[in-house]
Amino acid sequence: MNNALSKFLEKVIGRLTIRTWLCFLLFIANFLIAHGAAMYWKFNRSPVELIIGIILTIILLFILSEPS
Amino acid sequence: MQEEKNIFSQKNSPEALKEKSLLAELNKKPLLQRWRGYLKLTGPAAMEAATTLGAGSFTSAVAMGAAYGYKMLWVPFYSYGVGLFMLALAARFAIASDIPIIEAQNKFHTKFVGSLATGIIACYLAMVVFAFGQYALGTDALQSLFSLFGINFPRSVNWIIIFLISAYLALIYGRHGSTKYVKYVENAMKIFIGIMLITFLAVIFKTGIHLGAFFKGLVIPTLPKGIEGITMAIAGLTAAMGVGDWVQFHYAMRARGYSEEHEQLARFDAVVSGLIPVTLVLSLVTVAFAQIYSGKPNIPTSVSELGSGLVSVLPSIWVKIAFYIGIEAVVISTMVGMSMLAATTFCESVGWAPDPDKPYWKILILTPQIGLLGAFFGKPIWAVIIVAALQSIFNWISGVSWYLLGNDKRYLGEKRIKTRIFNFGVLLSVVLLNLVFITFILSRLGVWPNE
Repeated sequence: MNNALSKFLEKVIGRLTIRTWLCFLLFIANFLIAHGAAMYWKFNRSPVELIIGIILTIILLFILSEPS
Repeated sequence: MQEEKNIFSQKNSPEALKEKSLLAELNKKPLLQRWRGYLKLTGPAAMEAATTLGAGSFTSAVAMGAAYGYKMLWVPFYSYGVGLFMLALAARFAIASDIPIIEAQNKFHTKFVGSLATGIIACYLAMVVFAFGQYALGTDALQSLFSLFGINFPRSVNWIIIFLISAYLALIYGRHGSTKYVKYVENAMKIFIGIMLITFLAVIFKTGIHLGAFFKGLVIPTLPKGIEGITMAIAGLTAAMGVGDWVQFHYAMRARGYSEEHEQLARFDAVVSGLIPVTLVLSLVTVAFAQIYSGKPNIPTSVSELGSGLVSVLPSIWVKIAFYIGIEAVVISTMVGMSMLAATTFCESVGWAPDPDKPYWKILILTPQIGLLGAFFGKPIWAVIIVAALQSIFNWISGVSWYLLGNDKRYLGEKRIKTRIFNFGVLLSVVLLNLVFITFILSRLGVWPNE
């Protein structure tokens, strides 16, 4: 499993490794946290965006912490 | 023709080879014996810690103590704690490859990431602009120190003391490409940090301390609920450590010729000469101001007034003197560290050999000294805002680049990151830097509250 995940992360798509693409996805997940937090606490909107951001960040941290 | 020396290419210098064989033996010894041996060899983290302990962190510690009492003591401890993973990565880069980090970023991630984001913006510009604040604080403290004896020694004149000491130490760093002069400056930084600890401890003896509240505030983070809590957590966790600190630690190790045998020493150094003194010094300052101001009405807002208020209640003239000497140690050591980092990163960014004997190195190492104008005009707020904004925008790119290089076989080969916990720690810093950038943009758009 770990070896498979590691190989997957090092695959190259569009001149960049999947690890790099997932770093960009992590950035988007972090954006959802910040934007979702502002929407929820400042504008009293639904917390769904914040929750998605947190869950996505945790999943990505788990995947990206796999060594190469 | 004079031979070109590279201060950051010392792995085969006689001193580094001697240290390497000593460490090969030392690394096999029992824990306590090993640590005792390491203590004599520490140094690069002292360079980094001395830079971190500057006017910015001192001012934050003063303000937090006065406003929140003991509640925010966790900030430097946790901030530096999270940053330890990046320092460990900086060490890995220094020991596992002959390519310095900015050059590696240029090679594998473009010059935009290496030279611009890491070298020029996160380090060089920041060191030059933030030097104004050092002089503003240092000259103010010198003026107050001499006024204790009824001597008028104004800021417009006393800046020369800070200039002479810091410029001298910065200029001899790595002189003649020798690690002897690297260690000389590292030892000077250790002495300055020692002075900070002794002087601020003397202040605490007079102001008093609540030990229970101290340990609680240090270990248990206190945050308000909601968006203010997130803002405070992001600001707090990025307060004591940034890209400049990682870069400085990396190059300071290269200047000592660190190799594989040095990795355990580097980690020990980061904790003993970095985490512990930085946390202690900033905590002592916070406690002193918490004891005097916390919970009282009409607290002054400027650091100068807060400092004067603290000094006025200290009963002993010696402790008053100690307080101001502590501030001078903060300022002078930071100016030395900033100067070294400014010259290093500029040379690395433009591809010039970092040779301390060259005239361009001497000019570059003196560029942060333009901050002496801070003695006359204070901080140029517009420049500080621009550089802080640029850092918010670009630092996350440096963070991602470091994480990727830590996992890159082309750069580190078999010494690349091999454990999940190491990667996780590095990614925590990346997430924090992402959030700094995102909240900066959102606050400009009116979505996130301004600090």
